[in-house]
Amino acid sequence: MAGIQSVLDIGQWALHAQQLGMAVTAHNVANVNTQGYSRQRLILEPATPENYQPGQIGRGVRPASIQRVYDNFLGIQLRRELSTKGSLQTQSSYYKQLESIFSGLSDSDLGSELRTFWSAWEELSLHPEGSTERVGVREAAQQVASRIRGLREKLVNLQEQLNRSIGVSLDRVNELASHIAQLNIQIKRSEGSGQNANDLRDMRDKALDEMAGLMEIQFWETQDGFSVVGPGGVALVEGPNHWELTSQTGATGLEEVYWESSSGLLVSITDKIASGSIGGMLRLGQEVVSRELGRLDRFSQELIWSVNRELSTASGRSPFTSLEGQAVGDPSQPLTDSGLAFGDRVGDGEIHIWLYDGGNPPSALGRIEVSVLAGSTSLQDLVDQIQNDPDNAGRLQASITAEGRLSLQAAGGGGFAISMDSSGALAALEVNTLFTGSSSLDIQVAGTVMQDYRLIGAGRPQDVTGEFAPGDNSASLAVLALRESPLLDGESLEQAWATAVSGLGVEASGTYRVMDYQDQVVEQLEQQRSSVSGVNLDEEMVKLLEYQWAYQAAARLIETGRDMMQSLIEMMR
Amino acid sequence: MRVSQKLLMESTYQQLNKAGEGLLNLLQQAASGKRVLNPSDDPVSATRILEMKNELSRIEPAKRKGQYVNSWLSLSESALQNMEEVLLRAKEIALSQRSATATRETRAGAAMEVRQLYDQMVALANTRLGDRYIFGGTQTLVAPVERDEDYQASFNGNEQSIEVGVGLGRTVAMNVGITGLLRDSQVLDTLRGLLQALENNDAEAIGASLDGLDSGQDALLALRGEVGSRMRAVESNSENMGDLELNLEGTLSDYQDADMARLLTELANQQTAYEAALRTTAMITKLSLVEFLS
Repeated sequence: MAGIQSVLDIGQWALHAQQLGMAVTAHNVANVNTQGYSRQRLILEPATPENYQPGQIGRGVRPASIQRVYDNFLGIQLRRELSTKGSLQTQSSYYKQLESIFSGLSDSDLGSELRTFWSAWEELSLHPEGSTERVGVREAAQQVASRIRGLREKLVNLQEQLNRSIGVSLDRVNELASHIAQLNIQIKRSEGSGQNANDLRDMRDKALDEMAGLMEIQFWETQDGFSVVGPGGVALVEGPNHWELTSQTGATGLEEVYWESSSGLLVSITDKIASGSIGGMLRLGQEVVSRELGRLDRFSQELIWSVNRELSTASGRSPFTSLEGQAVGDPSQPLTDSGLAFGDRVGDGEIHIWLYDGGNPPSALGRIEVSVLAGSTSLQDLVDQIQNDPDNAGRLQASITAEGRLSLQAAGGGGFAISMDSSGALAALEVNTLFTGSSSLDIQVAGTVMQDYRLIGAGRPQDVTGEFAPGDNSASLAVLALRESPLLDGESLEQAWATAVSGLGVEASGTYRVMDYQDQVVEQLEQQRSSVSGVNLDEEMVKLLEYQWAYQAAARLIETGRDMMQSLIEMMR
Repeated sequence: MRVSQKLLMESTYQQLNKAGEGLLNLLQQAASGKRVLNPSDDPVSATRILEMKNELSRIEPAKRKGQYVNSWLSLSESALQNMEEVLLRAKEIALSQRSATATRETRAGAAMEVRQLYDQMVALANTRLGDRYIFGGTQTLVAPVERDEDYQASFNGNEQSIEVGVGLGRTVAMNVGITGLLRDSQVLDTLRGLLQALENNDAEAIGASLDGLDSGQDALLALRGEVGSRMRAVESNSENMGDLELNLEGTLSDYQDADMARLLTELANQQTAYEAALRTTAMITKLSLVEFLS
């Protein structure tokens, strides 16, 4: 019956509905700056009408639901792009670090040190008798070695930093997975009792966004909430359950990522992670940093070996009175596998050692010839051959020290010099060499040279006559020829370094460019989402006014009803 | 399109960021004067820059070496010239003393002078640059020629050349050996022969020494010619290197250095853009219905 009572009733519902509208608007206004918040709106419906004569009569308004404005499809798209952006962003920031580590265009990079090294040799080739020139060569060699070691240290630090960041990011993924699983439970509970869990859903979407930035994920909604699947199809969240990811640093120094099953089984998914910031870090660690480390190692090895190879047959101002080599593991084993860093480079060949008296200029007394067969000649064989050579006659004492070093000692006030070594055995034994070490980790100037710079050879005795001349600069010319030699894949050391620097530059600039593009893609999608879900204060203000007016009107309705009731009561008096 | 508050704020924030980033980039270029600070700024230019630097680093030491080689060669030349004069004087003595007018006394006097000439020759052969004997081949630390009391010469040097790279892939032998000339062409032996002939008052033997002196002079002349041509080669090489250096430095600067005039203009532009972004931000934040409702 459409009585006065129903007017009051309708008025009351209307007041209630507008008040609710204002509350929703207030919630929107309050959350204007909340990250991941989707604006909400009150859905109003007319109440079920009442059958009457001449027809149905309305019974006012009923609040039907409070909905959030959200585009699911945009969310899916955005998350895919967020994974790509996460990967690129991480890579960009690490490329910046790599570029500053290499600082290839500055005047203090490895390339500059190398140039100084060659210049020092140019000076020595001009003054093969000189002392200051030798000190200059030693100084420059030290700088090159320490620069290489410093570079390696920085690269290794970067790798460790990457590994740590991967661990931290995985912890975050685990946190998010557990958060999503909990939200799944809460949302199911709320929505099961007929509520709209808008804010909880916003929180879950936000967690998914963040997770997508860390690694690529796939997800879909079931009646238990969201299921999330990580790279390689491993389950991360399913309804109320979640699974964890862990990482371990492998033997190679690279981080491995594992998924832990419910039974505690570890499944490696390292190769499956292609995107997200974790994917970016894995790529950088596994491809870029380890490639640069390998490159630096090969660079150091070629520098050590080729310079040592030339210098093992060089001599200084006067013949040597004693020389000592690097320790071998077992003097009776072939040189090729007796634990020498460059033992594998020893080939078949001959070593010629000339013996001299103590005169000025020294006169050659005889030549010791030693033959080396790769894979069979041992250090002991070498010593025996020197000792038993008929030309030796006790002038050169060869022995093996307690640590397993080759020791050559001139007897009777004379000296000796090495005119030829086609086998490379002396370079491998580090007899009379400039560098020691086997890689970028341990490259340094040989201890003997550090003690006595005069050991640095610039000349070479005549192989046939044995003439020893302090003004001979042939060994320094041979070292200088290395500057132009294609030692690394057809490139000289200088070119190889330039290639490394510019190659890194090309990669970095490519990454920055794609990153810029991806930034725009994400920005656009975020703008679209913001356009749909974001709060506009003007709009909310207008809504507020609407609700306010409607509220005032409803109040007037009740007032009118009250007046009508008053009239009735007056009538009954 | 619906514009939410967040959208508005985020896009102004991004605009400010971009304008600021552009400004920072230009400021860095202006402060360093360089256009390419990191290889990634312009990888192609970076590659060229590295090549130029490697090339340039060869020129400086090569120029220094060229100068040293030149001083070595010119010292050699003047020593050789003096040797020629010694031989010329010996020839004059031989010519005048072989004639019938010469007497035992004049010849004894001439012998005194020839002794001095001999020692002068030895001293010239032992010429040093710094602590290095320039005529001893690679035996640079020991005097190439010594004589005993009997004016018999002994030789310590060799004929090995000291090769020095003087740039542009060019290698020059810095030294000329003189052992061959003095010993094998018997210049010193000829002088000793002349000395003995003068002492023995042997006119025929004095005349016989003339041939040896002539051939010695010829050999010295040839050697001087050789030294002179090497000097010219080194000089023209260092001139070429000077040109190349200028050239390379110019190209390096083209690749590496910032064009200051353009940079400063761009900087002014970017500054304006940044100011505009700031101004619009200030304006936009004021625009809201909230401001107008009271």
